[in-house]
Amino acid sequence: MIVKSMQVLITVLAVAGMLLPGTAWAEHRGDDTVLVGGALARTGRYAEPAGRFYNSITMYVDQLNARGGLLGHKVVLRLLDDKSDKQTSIKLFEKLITSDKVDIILGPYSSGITDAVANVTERYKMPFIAHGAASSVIWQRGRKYIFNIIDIAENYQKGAMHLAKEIGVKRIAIIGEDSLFPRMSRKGAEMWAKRLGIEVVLAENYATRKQGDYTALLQKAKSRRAQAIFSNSYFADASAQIRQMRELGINMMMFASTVGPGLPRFAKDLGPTAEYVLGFSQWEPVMALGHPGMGKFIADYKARYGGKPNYHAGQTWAMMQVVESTVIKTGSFDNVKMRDTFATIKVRTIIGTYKVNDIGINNHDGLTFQIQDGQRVIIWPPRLAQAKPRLPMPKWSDR
Amino acid sequence: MAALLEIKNVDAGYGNIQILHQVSLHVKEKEVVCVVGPNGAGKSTAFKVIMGFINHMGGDILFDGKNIIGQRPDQILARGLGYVPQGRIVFNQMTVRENLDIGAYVERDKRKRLQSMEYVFELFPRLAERQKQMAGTMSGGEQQMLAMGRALMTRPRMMMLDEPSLGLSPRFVTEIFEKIVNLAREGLTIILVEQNAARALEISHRGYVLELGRNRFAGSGEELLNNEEVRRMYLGG
Amino acid sequence: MEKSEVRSIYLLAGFLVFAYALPFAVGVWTDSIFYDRQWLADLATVALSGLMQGGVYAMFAVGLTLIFGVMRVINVAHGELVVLGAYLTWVMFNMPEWLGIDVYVDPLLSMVVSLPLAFLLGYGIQKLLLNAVVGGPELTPLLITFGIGISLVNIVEWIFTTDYHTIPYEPDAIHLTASIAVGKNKVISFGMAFLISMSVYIFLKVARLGKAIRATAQNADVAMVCGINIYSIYMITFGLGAALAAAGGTLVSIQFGFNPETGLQYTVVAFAIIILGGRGNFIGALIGALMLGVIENLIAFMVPNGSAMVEIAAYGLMICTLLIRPRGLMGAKEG
Repeated sequence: MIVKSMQVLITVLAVAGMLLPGTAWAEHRGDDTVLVGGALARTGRYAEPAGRFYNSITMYVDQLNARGGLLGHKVVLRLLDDKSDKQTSIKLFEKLITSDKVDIILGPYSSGITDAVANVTERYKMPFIAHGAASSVIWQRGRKYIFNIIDIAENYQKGAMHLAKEIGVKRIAIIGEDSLFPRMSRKGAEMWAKRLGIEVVLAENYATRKQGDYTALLQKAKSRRAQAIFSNSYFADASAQIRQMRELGINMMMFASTVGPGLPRFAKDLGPTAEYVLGFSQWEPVMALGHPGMGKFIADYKARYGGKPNYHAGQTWAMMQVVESTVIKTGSFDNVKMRDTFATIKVRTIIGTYKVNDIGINNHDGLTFQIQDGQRVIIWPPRLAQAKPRLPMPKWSDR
Repeated sequence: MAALLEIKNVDAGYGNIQILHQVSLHVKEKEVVCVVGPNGAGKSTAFKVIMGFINHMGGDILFDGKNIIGQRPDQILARGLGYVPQGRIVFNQMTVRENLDIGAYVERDKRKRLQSMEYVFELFPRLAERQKQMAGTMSGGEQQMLAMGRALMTRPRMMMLDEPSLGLSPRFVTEIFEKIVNLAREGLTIILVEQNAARALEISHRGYVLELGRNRFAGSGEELLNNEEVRRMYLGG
Repeated sequence: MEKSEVRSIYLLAGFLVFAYALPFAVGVWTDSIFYDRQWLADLATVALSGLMQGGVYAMFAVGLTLIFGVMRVINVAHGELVVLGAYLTWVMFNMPEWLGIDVYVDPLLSMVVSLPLAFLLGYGIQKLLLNAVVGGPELTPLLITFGIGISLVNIVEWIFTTDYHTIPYEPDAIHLTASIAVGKNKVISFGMAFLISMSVYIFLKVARLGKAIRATAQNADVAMVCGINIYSIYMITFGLGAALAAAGGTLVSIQFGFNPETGLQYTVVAFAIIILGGRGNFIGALIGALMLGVIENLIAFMVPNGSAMVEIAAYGLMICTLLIRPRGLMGAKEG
């Protein structure tokens, strides 16, 4: 009985994802409309950043329809929930393309899911801008229908690594979640460390679902005399790591994470513990960046959703700008023609210029920020820096 | 005198499988009645349907003149019908004392529980000696005494004993039957199911023979002991 | 005890010794062990922190094992109840700020409200959904709790969105020696876990209701003829299990980030622990929790890329225990 019921339990847990089909929340297509569709994580562990994608997309489509839609057609949006799950996402994109017959595809969140979905879109020759993916490996597979818009994962730690060099860091530990995107940013961090002559004394990934105790990993970094920690991480892991450094009294000259510190709750929930943490951002709602249309976007977003947009919201808005420009320039919804336009068009978006190279990668420069007095402040590259970096981090006992 | 327990034309079984067919029997106050029969005759099943453990499919079950069909075992117990299940089941990981205390779970008054416990200890001095021992570490005979003692903790008017001598050494069989006789002498109404039919009939006022879930014979203990067919079929001689 | 039983406990013990030695062996082999005082202090820190983590695990596991022991129901929604507890604590912690009152609500104090609420929820779940199916095929209650879990995730998501939250509670270190430190919140959590699980243990041992719960766990039919209303015991047990899960949730909220989806991993962890400790055995769950917490950290500390392998620890312990001795360290023999 018991063994049997445990088999059942394991099976049940295994099929859990499959039992839950994604839910649609857009209405059906009328006759004279354009169907824009995609799948995004509305639930699951990517739901938080992907939720900001969702905000930008819906706001963009509403504004687009208000000014007459695309080529005179009303835009109908169909965004499905991929549950942060690769297999679900593949199925949903297959369905969107073959049975819903969408005119324009919008990409999912996370490099892993995008990489998987790209196999489907490639087969049906549906072009899209991978606004939720930053791993360059996606563009190294000879694909023709996928385009990059944001800075690639390999560069997420580029700014922090340069700053580490400046303050005299010699030995570092690189840690991160064991999934595609953090692995790519780890690869980039290792490359930049090598290029700058910094020794990597520990490079280790941790289980994707582990969101608890990082004591062992942090102690390992300490026992190998790392002076800085480069963490390729999201919210839960990055916040646990910096908290536990404080709990354990582990002093580093720098703690640089990738995605986590960029989320508004990071500084708010962690309070003083979040101070001095470095993070990466594709974009910040800072007028000094000087991109056209930024002010209006920030104001509209704030009015509608109650808070300033972060870079996730920004890059998605930029993606929608490129999609609109591409359709207008192409003059039709022909997928192959649109593909050619995506490959050649130059668009000035709110996060910078979109113009891809021959393998579809855009040359976007990301920003490194630091949490200073509870705010994200750009500290790298120097020409865009809002303030001086406060480095090295003071000892916990001196704060 | 009206019967304390009466079941009339009862059909019952497990799930959809019917085991008892039109079984009737009754027990009068202060009587000792035994139910005998071969394996699979439905003897224990009859007890289980009275306690409400298995599907009742038809017929009447009356205790003290009141219908008890559909009541939970704890409610039946509260009416004064105690039950000692087959296989001397005790709570192994509890002490003797805890077992007895749990036996009177319906009794909220602690003093009354202590009184009952004194009574049980008088009846089974061996349990008094082993109050703190874990029930699971006792011998089979002692566990059977504990199971009986536990059922007596609520001071029931009537007790149902399912195979009290099963699997016990001869010494304990004798002891258990002595205890049953003692309890009957004190005025407790008893119905018991037994494999050891000869011995059970000796101490019983009346007996029933069940076969394949049906009534086969009924009569006084002596009558059944002397009945040729019963002797041949169930008493091994 | 039968001979094979004696043998299997020795085998399991042997296996556990081997499992604990393995990270050290790998450490020696891969040169990640340094034979100096500093490294030993680091090792002590790591083991200590694993023990603290084990305390949190214990909170999940004792509730699960209690529910399983009494009803033979595998509560797949257990992790979701943990997350619910975390949210309740988080809400109460932030409530004064939302209301504009300048009061500090200690997250631990919130248990005064969250535990009774969780108890009522568990009680209600058992009464309305599970009492009818306990004792039947084991799959039915399992699927019902599975459904409850999904519903809870969705409800929590609907109310709180999928944003991660955490509570910055007692963030500083306690230095045991110059180089062995442990987080203050971890020590407090461990202390709470110890206090709560010991109270429940004593309640089960001493209180009359506790004895009735144990009696029902050992034999429900006999418990019934002792006059115990087992359905009421079932409701109380599920309520108690839910309250323990919620207490675990409070401890999670003051140490880690959580969102509505975090629950599943806690179900898995708790499940592995009760298999190791022995399904239905309270003390077994406590020991299993501490053992898992420590071994996870040893692996992460000494094995190269060990942090990616900690899940193997949970699953590996679970599978090997099932193979060597299905009843676990202290569980009762399956009938």
